[in-house]
Amino acid sequence: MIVLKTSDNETFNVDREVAERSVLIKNMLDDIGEDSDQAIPLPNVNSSVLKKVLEYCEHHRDISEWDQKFITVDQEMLFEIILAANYLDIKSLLDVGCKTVANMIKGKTPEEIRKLFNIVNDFTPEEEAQIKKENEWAEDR
Amino acid sequence: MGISGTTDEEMMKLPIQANSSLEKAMGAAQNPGTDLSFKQLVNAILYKCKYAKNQLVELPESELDGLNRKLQIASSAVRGCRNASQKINQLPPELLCNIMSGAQMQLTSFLPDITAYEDHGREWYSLLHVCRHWRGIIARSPTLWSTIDNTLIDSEDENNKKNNVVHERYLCRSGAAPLRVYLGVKEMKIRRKSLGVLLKHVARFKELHVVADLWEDSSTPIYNLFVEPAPTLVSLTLRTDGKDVTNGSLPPIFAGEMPSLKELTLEHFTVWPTTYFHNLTSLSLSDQAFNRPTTLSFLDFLQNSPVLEMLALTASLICLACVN
Repeated sequence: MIVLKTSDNETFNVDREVAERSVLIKNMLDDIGEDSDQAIPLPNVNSSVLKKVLEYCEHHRDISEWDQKFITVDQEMLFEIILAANYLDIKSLLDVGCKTVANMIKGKTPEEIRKLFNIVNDFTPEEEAQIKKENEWAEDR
Repeated sequence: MGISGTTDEEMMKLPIQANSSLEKAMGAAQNPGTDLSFKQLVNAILYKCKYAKNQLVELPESELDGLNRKLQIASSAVRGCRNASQKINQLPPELLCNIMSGAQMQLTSFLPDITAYEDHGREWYSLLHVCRHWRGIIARSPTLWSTIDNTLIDSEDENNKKNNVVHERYLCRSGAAPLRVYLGVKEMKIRRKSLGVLLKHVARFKELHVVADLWEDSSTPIYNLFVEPAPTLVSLTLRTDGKDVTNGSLPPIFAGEMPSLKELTLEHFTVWPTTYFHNLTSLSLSDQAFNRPTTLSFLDFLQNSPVLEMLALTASLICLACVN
């Protein structure tokens, strides 16, 4: 077992094999050596997110239904998981997160996408007119 | 990146014409408003608009337009800041690019459903119009510009100017990314000039899917123009109605140098140079009307294709008269 320490100073005892799904942690473990019982600091991940990420690492199989169910979380957690997976370098989890967001976007109009992610149209009318002109090739299709 | 390839920072510095006395006065002042908070400034503007409207009324239309434009730019900047605080926009650009890539049309490299390619471009409409940040990410991500077809580079139609801009932008913004190229799929007519533009980038072709039925130059088969090596070409599709095929023979293409080619789809071709296509994992042959290979010669070909995993034959092969 190894110990991971989160940004809010919580510690997690984790099976080494599970933790090593993260390339970042694996590299850190390699650096500090096999026998060290030193806690691995993870200053960019808080305990609630790490808990969720570890759940993924422990249960991850190549079953998309499981992935889908796992990633059915609110948007805030979804983006936190993506950031954590990126930081910890867990490619499979990162892929699931990014694909989920991509699927949320697919087939939607710009306005629907803005609404989904609480984004507002920040183009000036002048810019919008120019963009529309530039993108006629896409709009014509 | 903002419109016309400018960076967001540059976008924020859109030139503002100092052509009015009021603007000149503002320009002459040393950093006007620095001693006020944004809130105070906005409140001051609102106050002025409400209680000093007469000053506005006296201004000529051009000055009013100038003021309006500046206010729009300021408003746009405020909305941009609001957008920057949203979770999705806090993702690193490479992750947002990854997400956008996932939201784009994905066709298989082998036997792609080319009818689905009709929809390529629609997703751009949505993504490019969301906000300036997304537009900037897209403009700076070569992989998002790496799927291209002849409609994007045709420069000889009535929209000559527009299409020149498009093809220039496409090919420039694709950087050094491997290209997926569809010719004659969305628009069947393939112009020689357009092909010439694309073939300059043949060294980074990863996929090439051609429907050659309406190739512009009937005197020279399109394949004859594929002369430069294609070192990174992984998937090749050559579909034709057969009019440009002589005795089922595929002419030399890419100087015989396609070392990465794994997936091949040929229509109406039955024979090709013997040194070609030995590393294929997927092969589709169809409509072999003339000069079909004998079973024996085809078995020889298969024997020399040790990594072949998938073989699709449609109206192809085995000429019964030639079996023995």
